Amino acid sequence: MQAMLRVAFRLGASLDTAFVNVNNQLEETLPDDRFITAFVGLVDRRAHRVRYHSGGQAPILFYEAASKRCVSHGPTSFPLAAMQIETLRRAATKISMMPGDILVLVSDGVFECCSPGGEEFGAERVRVLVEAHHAKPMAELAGLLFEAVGRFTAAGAPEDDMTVVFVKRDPWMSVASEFRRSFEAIDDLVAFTAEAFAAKRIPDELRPSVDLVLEELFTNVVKYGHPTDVPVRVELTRIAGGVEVTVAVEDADDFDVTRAGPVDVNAPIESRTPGGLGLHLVRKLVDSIQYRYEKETRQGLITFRKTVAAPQGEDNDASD
Amino acid sequence: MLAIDYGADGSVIVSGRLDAAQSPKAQAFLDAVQGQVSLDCGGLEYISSAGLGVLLKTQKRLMQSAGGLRLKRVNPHLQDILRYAGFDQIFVIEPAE
Repeated sequence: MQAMLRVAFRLGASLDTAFVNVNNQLEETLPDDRFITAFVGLVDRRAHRVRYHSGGQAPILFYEAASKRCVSHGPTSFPLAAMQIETLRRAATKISMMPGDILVLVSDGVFECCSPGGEEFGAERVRVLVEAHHAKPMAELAGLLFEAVGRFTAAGAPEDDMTVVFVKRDPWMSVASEFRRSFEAIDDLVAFTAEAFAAKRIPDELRPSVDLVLEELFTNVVKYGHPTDVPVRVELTRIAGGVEVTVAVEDADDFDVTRAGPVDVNAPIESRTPGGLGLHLVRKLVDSIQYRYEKETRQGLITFRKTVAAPQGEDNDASD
Repeated sequence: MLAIDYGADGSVIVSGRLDAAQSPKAQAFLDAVQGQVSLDCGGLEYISSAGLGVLLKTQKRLMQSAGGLRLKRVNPHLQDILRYAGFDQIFVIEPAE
């Protein structure tokens, strides 16, 4: 099933399409008395979101770092292979996943294991344990859960498989802030990058280039973006040898900054204008840049990377 | 922030950050200069495309009357930016020592 899902996503299938078709293939293939409880989810770090379908896999616990509480989510469908799906009755569940949040996937072999007295371990004990130990490394948290299960069952033989997956957004590598759409916010932007570089120990030699790219992208939004009071969100994440920066623009029109036309920097001064120079410099200064637009939410996401290892300038701009 | 003023030797001294927020201030000052002008960039930490636009507009105006801007004491980062923009073909640029 994992292989089928991976091929589906490799071929560009959406979450819905992959879930439905893998289910239908399994239903055709497996004996009538077989089914699979399964969680199929996609984590989008840049959009701070996880989207999932769950075929009979529940409860799905989600630890929110902001509230320091676990919330419980249900399945979106029946177990895979139980029957054919023509149309999904429920849309994929979307959960905002911010740094420090933990997605807790625990199989029913854990929830339903019993004490010698016949009491089930249940989801509540998992919730209490995750909330108490959320700051520990995930491998350690999983170990604590299995220790708790062992004590609860008095080390009795498990009646079902026990699978535990914890997915945590690293709270230490990223820092984010929001900026009002005004040239006056550029000073705040500069102060933000200075603080973030120091806090995350990002090589300071990259800061002038990152500041310039950020300013060009930000002022582009201010000058040409859809008029709105919704602030622009900027997130810096330390990566090996450098930084990844994501600029999230809500309530945005679709404008792909990576497809801006080339600038003839060799033209005589009489015909030179500053127009387009900003995005030209952006392309020169970054190691890579990606743009993504979601029509549904009208969100534009621009992500660029800058590292000390990559050369600057000529090698970075295939459009010239 | 940006500071721009005349130095004792008659050159224009610019320092700080020449970004989109500060460009109007720089443009207002440079709109008043005439002839051959040395722009001392020794204290200029940063320039964006908005600042480059200020330099370009000033250079075009000065060249119409046989004048021009000479950029002095330009740090390596600014040199890169000027070169990426093709401004090394438009301005005389003297690197910082």
